[in-house]
Amino acid sequence: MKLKALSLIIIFGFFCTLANATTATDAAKSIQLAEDLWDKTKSAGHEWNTIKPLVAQAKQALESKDFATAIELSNKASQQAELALIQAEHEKTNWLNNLPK
Amino acid sequence: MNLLSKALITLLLISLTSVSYATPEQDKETFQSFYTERFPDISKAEFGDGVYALDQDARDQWEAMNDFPPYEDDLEEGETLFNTPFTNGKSYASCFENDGENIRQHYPKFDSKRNMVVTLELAINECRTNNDEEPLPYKKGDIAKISAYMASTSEGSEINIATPTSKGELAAYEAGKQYFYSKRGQLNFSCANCHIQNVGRKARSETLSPALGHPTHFPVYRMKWESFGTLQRRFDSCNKQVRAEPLPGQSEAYRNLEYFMTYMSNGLPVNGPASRK
Amino acid sequence: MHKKLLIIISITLLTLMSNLLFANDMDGKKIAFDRKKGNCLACHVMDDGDMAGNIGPPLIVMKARFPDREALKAQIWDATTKNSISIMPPFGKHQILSDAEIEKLLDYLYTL
Repeated sequence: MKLKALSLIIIFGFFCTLANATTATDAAKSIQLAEDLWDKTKSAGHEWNTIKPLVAQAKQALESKDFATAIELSNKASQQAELALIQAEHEKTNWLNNLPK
Repeated sequence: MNLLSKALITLLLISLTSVSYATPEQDKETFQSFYTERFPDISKAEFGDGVYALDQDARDQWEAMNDFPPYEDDLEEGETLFNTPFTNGKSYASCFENDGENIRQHYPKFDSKRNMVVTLELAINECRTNNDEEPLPYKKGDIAKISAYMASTSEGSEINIATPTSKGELAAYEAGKQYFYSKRGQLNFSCANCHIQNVGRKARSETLSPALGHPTHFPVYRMKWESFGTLQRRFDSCNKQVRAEPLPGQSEAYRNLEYFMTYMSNGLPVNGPASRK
Repeated sequence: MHKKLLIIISITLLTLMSNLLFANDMDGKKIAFDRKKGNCLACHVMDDGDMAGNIGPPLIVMKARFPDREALKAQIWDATTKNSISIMPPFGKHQILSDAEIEKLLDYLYTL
């Protein structure tokens, strides 16, 4: 009985570590994705200054092992980078509407 | 497809191509007459005073401030720096036409050998590196002081940027033009949104200044900065305000933008350095 | 006894609700005035705001001007769908404000 409980605890502990590790990897991946998209906005010449702090905060959260926050913030950074890229694409033609008439 | 829709599409194409194929000279005419028609009581030269040409109250305060210009010390320092020889004994004057006097109105220039726009500040730093000196940091500090002194020797000379005609010139000009009219940043503003479409209106209590005349009075001593800043330092402020990341000083996009904007102000007298709130 | 309790409970509930509603309006106003949030005063005269700009129209009689709440929300969400060069920031589309913040803002705007 004691042994059974012990093994259960060990198994549970193992899964916990596993889950934790996955989240750490997920967070790192999520940050990497945000950084890649952020780089694309730079080459497109449409970088928003809101992305840098989001990525920095996400990295800080990862360091302090707050993986959920890291993922949440890097997702937000990715979304904003994607919006900046949409803006860049749209302005390739829309800028002409801005000319003085 | 019926005849009518074909005709409409043709018309649309013609109007589109006529927009994108406007020559720089036509652009400049449209740009300048936009402001002179919008503000018929203001002469073209006066647009170099920015908001102080549009807002009499602000102008009164500004003129009072200019009884003792806040930039006097920095301007003097700029003159001293300009005249101090490099370690090799040469000076800034040796790098420029007319010994660097009264030349501001010709910058930025297009360098066809290197196929790039050269601003006055870039030329100042190239003068240094060609004489084995370290380049100065851009946007503020000594480079702005030197540039301010050089601008002061051009007072009253009309901005005279050669009309872009070569393929390289036109590419740089068009890139600068596209930058000016493109929306950017999280707030989604173009330069034109504020400085053309809403010129003279107020954002909070600040009057939006005309883009015609923007380049004539730089470097500017801004009370907010408590120092001189180049036109490109000012680009940074605008970019931050619309939540776009500023670009490095003398980056290609900034040089092209400065080229476009300065050409739009051709014919206006140089009146820099100037003070701003 | 029973009646008294009922009255007390309903008063408490009503106070709570009105507090909530009031708080909602206050939140909306805060969002509208905050320079880092709506910053509506940058362009619009509104309410008791100081030093308002005049780039956009004054925000008055909103119910009459926007009988359809969704139409007003769409304008705040992304004004460029109606006018591709509109200077008004696309508050929703560009994540300047969250959906919840825009809803609070709308509640407040309809008090004007």
